[in-house]
Amino acid sequence: MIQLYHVHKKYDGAVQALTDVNLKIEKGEFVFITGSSGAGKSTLLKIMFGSEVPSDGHIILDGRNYLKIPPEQIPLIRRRMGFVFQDFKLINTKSVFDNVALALKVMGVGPALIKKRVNKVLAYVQLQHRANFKPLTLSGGEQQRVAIARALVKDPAILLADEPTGNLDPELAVQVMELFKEVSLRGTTVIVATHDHSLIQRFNSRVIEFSEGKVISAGESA
Amino acid sequence: MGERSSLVYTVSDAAASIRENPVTVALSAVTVGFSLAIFTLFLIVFINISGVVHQWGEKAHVIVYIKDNSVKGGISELKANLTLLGEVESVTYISKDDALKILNTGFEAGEGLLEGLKENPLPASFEIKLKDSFRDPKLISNFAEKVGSYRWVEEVQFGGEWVEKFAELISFVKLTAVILGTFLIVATLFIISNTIRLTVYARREEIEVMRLVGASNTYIKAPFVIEGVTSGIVGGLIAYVLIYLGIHFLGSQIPSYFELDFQSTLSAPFLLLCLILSGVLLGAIGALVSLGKFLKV
Repeated sequence: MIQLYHVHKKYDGAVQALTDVNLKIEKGEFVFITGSSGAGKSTLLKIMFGSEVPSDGHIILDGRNYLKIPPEQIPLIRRRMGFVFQDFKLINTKSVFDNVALALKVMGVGPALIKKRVNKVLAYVQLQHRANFKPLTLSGGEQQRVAIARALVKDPAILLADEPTGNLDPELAVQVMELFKEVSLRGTTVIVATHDHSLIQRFNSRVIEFSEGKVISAGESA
Repeated sequence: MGERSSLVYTVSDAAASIRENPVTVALSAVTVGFSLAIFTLFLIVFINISGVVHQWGEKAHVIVYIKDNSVKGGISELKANLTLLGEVESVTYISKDDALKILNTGFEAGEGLLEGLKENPLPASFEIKLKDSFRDPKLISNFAEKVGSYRWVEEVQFGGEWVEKFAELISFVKLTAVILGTFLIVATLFIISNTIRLTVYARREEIEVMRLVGASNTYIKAPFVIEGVTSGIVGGLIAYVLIYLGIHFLGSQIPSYFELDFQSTLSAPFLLLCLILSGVLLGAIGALVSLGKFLKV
């Protein structure tokens, strides 16, 4: 469970990205975060991911106050989260297999188990036949599925996705969302930031709407 | 899951990185090699010259000439006083007659050199051998000055004041070596850290991704440190070869009276070990310096 209490974020240069955000997201929920560009969606996800620190407020993650966790333990928290980025953030010099395996390697998982789990997740996103390809030789949709596979391979408790369909055509976007929905049904909390309203309408899920850094509608659990 | 797998991944990542960037590693290694070689050659020359000065100091006897008008009791008193001094190991009396004999044996061809003279002009003297710990040009000079003021002493001579001057020169060289050595080490660290910084920069996206998937700082840093250490080890080997060549070249150029022996200054395995360890230290510090600013949580 993720709880945010009176979270504010002000960047240097006095840009107020988030103002008094209060949210509660239950375990296994599928949530859309929506709003126009600059509404604060990405900042919210970054704060949940620990790559940005709020200027004020508290974030409680599974009962632990996120802001009191020492910096050296942040990687441990990230290992329980998967993050899917709009620009994929794949390592172009490594194969698809190695990109996905990286998430397990940093956790110290043994090679045999890595092989088993990576192959399984690649089959799940239908990319097993691309395992030895380099990311740049794949289509945008395939690259995004590699990124999703990397996020899922560690069975994350929370999956964060920032505009994951921004670079995909509508058909692929729907496929990716269906994948996310399936993941949430398996118990992972899925939080997707998007401004694609057609997608939101298609999937009957909770929608949290942002405008100018404020929550204007916290939505209801589906 | 475990530490062992992490260690294996770290080492294999480092090996892959070295394979992908051999020029970077080679550049760092050559830098380390030359810096260590220059520094060590300087040190070897310095140790040898210091040794030579010390040897020359050892050879220097202190001769205390006794006033001609000294009474017998005075001479015994002087000998007793000299023997009591902490610096003195032994005192040998050389009478006027002994001095003449020594002079005559020294000048075989000029036998009878002093025959025309009515009396022996040579003074009696004490030849003093100093204890090991006092055989230093500076200490000998102090000792000579002290003894010079004793009663019945005409003059004190010791093996060349120029040894003392030379020792002063060596002190100056020592200071220069420390300053130059510091410059070299700093320059080496600077070059290594910048070479590694270039690698870090080239791989910044990969590092970012690693951080995003939950890699610890140690996991991210370790391959770069291993890369630095590898450069250091190779650099140490390069330095060893350069020093070997340098000593051979220098060895053939040394004037024989210097009695320098570069070969035996440091034993080969010890020198190699020192060079590799220094290289490892330089490589590791260089890597950590360049990573320090680059990595945040």
